[in-house]
Amino acid sequence: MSARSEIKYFFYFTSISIVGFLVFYLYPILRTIYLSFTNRQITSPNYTWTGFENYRHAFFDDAVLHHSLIQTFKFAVVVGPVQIIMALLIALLLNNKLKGMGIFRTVFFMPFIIPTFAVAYVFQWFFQPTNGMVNGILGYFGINGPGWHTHSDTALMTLMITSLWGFGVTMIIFLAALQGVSKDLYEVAEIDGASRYRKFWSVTFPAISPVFLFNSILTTIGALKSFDLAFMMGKGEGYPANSTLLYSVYLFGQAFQPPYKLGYASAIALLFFLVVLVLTALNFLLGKFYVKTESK
Amino acid sequence: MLVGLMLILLMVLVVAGCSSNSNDNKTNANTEKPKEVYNVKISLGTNNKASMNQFVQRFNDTHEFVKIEPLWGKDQVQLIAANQAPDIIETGDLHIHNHKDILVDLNPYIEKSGLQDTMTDFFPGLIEPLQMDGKQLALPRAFNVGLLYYNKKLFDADKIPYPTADWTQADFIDAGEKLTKRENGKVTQWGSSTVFGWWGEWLIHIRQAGGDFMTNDKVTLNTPEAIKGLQFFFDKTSKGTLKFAPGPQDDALGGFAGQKTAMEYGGHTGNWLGFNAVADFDWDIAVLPKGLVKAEGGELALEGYGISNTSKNVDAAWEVLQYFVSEEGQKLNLDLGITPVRKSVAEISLAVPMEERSNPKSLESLYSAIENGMILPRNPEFINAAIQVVQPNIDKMLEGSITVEEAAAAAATKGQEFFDNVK
Repeated sequence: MSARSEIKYFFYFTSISIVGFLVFYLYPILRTIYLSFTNRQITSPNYTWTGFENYRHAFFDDAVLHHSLIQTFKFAVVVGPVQIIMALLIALLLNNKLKGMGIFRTVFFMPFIIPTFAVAYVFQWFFQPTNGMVNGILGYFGINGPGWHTHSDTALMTLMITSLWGFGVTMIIFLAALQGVSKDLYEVAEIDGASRYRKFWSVTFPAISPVFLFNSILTTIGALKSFDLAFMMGKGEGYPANSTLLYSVYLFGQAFQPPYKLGYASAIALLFFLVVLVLTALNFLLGKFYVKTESK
Repeated sequence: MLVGLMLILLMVLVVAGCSSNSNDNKTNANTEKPKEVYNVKISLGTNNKASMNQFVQRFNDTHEFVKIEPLWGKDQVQLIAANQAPDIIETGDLHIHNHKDILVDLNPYIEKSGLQDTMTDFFPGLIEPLQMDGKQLALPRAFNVGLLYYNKKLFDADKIPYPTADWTQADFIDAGEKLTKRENGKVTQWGSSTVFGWWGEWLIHIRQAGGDFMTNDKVTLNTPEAIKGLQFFFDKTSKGTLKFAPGPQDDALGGFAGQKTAMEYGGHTGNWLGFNAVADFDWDIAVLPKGLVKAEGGELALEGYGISNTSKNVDAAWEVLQYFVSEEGQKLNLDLGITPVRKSVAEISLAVPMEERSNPKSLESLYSAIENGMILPRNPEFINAAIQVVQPNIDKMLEGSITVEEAAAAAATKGQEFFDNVK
């Protein structure tokens, strides 16, 4: 086949994907970049080029944005690592050959498929300070439970706890990786008299380390982008006292709530993209210290 | 080949990026009535679909060439963002500032249709908030006004007389305290509810105390009057001195509709259908008690509708808008539990003997409350400032983390900084 024909067939087979990429990915990205330099409002067709004004406002004037970034970091620093560790521990448990293991796997994955609004309502009921189940149990042990989601000191922590149970996909990926670890390696380790702890650090973890890196990146990005649960539990506004105001919730509010500042929302979306990019790069950098590949 | 394909892709991008704001096909007030059927699009929420469907049906049955095409559950803002704005845009006194660039000036249509002659039939104060720069950008369809909602059964159980138009704040406090019940240290019934997370209640107390959110573009939440209003809002909650309304950490017992809360200060007429859907809920309304200084201060908010300037048939959209405010449309509103904006229609509802009315029975209170109603500050950034900058201080005040004075000072300073920065 000639090179010309190869190019022709290449475009025949990939054109739909390329068009999809250009229209649904590249164009929105370019449009967002363009809008970030304007004062575009959704409800006004009249807008002007404002240069770096949106970025200047975001950096120097918008105290609520700075606060939301801090809250998001706090949230991600706790939720990301804890979710990874929980997912790995549960995956290790579910990797055992026990009777009825399929049921356990389903049960642990189930939270992922429950609608967020239902999760939010149920957890708000659990954590209700005066009549909720959690403070009821704490009260039984003589502990005066906190205000949970109703108090600005504890609302973010409550959101973190509620977010933790959504580790289903991370766990499934770990489980798949664990099942791919060669049994021979465990047999060799056992012959050498390795303990379970030693087997995990010398056999299991090195074998699944690329997947660990992959999950770390996904979980970090996921935690930084968290939106739905924070939106539901914080009444869409970071209630109480902006304590649950995550960056994405604030960004959404800027674009889709009056006065619908699409230009400004585009600018802070791009700034957030840079933050996520840096943290992802940091994750890759850290991965160099623990990821074992075939060549290593 | 490659160049050709890239050109096609570029064209796709250009087409996708092009704005469809063209007004070329728009007809104006001077053109003839359309002879072909035109579907007037309007975004409608699904929560009131059953009742709104009747409205749409009635219009469509009585109009030959213009039909309403409801876009159920489609978000109006997203449609506007996608350059697919519906013909009719829902707006209100709070949103008119943000919609001013996409709405048609209705004045020529009002004059041509003769609606001008019936403008005096609208309740005073319901037309002006939908004007900007001399243009009438929308017409009101319904309104909300601050009222005192009360549960008749709970009042009857304690033999407390129902609220009346001459109630003062002292009467409200007295009833609130008497109607708050405690068992083993736990509250089993609240005298009144508390509105958390937005200005729905605290702004009324501030205004009735003689203060306001803004005066002449300056945030005035730290004036002595405003502080007194905030103090009362705080005092009525469980961390304050009066303790007849829940704080954020208390079980609100399902709020007013939960039937274990005797009163609601302010409330919203949009909740009436929901209240009436609760079994055995016997409730009514009264005008707000006179506050610390004055009776005036309940929020007056308008649900208005205007015509998109991208509508391909403004005449047809105007026909729908006229129906919204016509006597027939307003009567239908009344049947559906929506507050009418025309006095003549209100009188029809008042002519029905009180015992034959559904809840709320005291419609006299509804209409007389309008004169004490106040619209919200007409600043496009008001919602942002109130929710993201001022409200966090009120939340902390209700938690007991900061004092009322500290909350007022922080709200005023940060609120003012916010407005200065967005200029």
